Amino acid sequence: MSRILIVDDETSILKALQRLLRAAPCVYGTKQFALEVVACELPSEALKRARQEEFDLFISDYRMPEMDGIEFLKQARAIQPDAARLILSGYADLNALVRAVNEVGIERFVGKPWNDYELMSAIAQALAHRELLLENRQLADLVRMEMGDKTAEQVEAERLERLEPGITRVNWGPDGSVVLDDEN
Amino acid sequence: MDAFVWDHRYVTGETQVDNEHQELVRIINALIDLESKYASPETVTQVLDQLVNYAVVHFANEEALMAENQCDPRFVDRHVAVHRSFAEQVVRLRASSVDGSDLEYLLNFLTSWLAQHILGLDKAMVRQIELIRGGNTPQAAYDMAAKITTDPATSSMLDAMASLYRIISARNDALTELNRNLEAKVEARTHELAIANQKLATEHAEMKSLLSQVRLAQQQLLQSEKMAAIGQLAAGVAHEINNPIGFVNSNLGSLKGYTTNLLNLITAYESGQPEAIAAARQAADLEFLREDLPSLLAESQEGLDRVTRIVQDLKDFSRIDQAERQRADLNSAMHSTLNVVRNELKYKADVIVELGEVPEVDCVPAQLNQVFMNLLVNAAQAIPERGKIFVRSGTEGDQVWFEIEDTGCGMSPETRERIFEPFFTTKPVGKGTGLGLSISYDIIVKRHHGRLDVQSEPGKGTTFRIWLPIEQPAVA
Repeated sequence: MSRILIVDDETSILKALQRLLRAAPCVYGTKQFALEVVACELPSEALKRARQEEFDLFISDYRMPEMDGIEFLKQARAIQPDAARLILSGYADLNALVRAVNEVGIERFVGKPWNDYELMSAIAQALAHRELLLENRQLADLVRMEMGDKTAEQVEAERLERLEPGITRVNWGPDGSVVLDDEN
Repeated sequence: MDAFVWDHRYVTGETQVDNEHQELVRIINALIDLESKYASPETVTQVLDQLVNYAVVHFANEEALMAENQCDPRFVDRHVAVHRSFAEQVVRLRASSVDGSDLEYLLNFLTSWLAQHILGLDKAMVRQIELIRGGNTPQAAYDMAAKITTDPATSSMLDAMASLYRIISARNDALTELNRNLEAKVEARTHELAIANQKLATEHAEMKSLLSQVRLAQQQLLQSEKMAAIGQLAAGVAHEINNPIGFVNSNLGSLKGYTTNLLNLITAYESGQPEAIAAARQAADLEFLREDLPSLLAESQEGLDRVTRIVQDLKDFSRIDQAERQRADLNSAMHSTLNVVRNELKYKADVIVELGEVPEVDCVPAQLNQVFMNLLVNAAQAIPERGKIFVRSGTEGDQVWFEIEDTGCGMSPETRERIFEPFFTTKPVGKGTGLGLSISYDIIVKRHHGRLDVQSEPGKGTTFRIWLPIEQPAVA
């Protein structure tokens, strides 16, 4: 089951996307993805969900209250670096596009109004690409462990780090104390 | 004036000379007659010419007579000189005195001169000629003639007159010379003036063409500023239109799937096979459809309504029939502008609209829409995170006012002084043309005879207030 988090300040968009993702097949090559969709109207709410649950893909609008899509995806990446990212927007100037690609490393930029088929294949492609990367990394880690390049501890530490960025680093306070939770 | 009366005193005794003198007197009298009848200048000139010609002939005859009798050269020279001077004087005076009082002056001069000349020099000449004919030498004749004074009073008076005449004649010469100089100067001046005038005319034409170029440039600026403002809006409008079209379009796709499932279900019911019905129900997820279909349709309907409204607002905002002066309800103009820019504003501010009673105003609505839009977009851009924009209106006396207040960053006094300058902007490159407020000022103050007041406090926000006369002055 692939979990997708969608952020858009427009409820009707969220509902239309939920209908689409519920019914349409999400297929890449021979691979079919079963989807579970979480929809949020506010970026802050979405970030909150992202801290609590794991997602495979973030889909964000660009123009939103609170913060724009790029800012949201940036923060989401900090929380879950392995999730794929996608922008679905009716408008973005060139600056926004450049920032989206350079700063956030989005998988795709899909314009509104979207074509259902294209959107589904973009989602499927993003998910497949992500799976491939993860599998690749896992295999590479296995090989490195076998070859003795990496210890099992290192691999486990990297896994934990991906799960909870920053968990394997100790954050020292100025007075020598250990800061467990610096911002949230 | 009185005619020249010929009497025995003028008779010299030399028949030819006397005849010619009488002819001269006749011509002068003809002139006097013409003058009293206000004859045309042409006629006067003609007779004057006749007089001059005759005088020249007469002088030649007198001079020939003196030569024939071998008069004393001292006398001959003086006599000839007087003749020449007279001819010159008459020719000169003639040029300027054919009309009005000058003619009278000329005639006076002629009669006086003739009388004095005959009584003086001519009589002296004849006396000398008689003495020479009587056997005296010219020198002796000259000396004797000088001594013969029939009447000492007359003689000395004639001398005095002769010298007076010489003085006047010299003065006249000087005056004429001066006159001629003056005329030359006037002519030169006139010429200079004409050149200067021509230069001025050229400059004026240049200025005029420059002015029309400036006007054209201003028009283009106005237009390009409008385009720039609309460009800024395009972002909001595109977003606002693409969103509903996006979900309506996607909903239609879902609806297609739903319909297929429902039709399949009906087919299954028609077949009457319980297994087929159960399978079709399962595939259609009827419970979900019951819930979702109405909301799908309602949402889609709402989305299409939104697109329709946006397009209508855009049309209202940029209506071509509002580009002329007319009476317009500016509250509704403000509403349509607000609808167009709402997409630009809604991520930055809550818009609080408090429009009061406003009568219809004599104005160009399209231009005022542009001003409203400038002020609203500026207000939104002045708000860093999230704030409020108040839009108010009202009437006071023979003026209406519109106010746009924001809770944005405000302006320093230095900035406030410069906001109406063209190309002055505090926005980053590419975000503003620097023309919005200068053009707004032009539209309100120059084109609508209104006022644009600003109040601003750094950190608190800015308020713009537009004042417009309800009636425009007769000559706009």
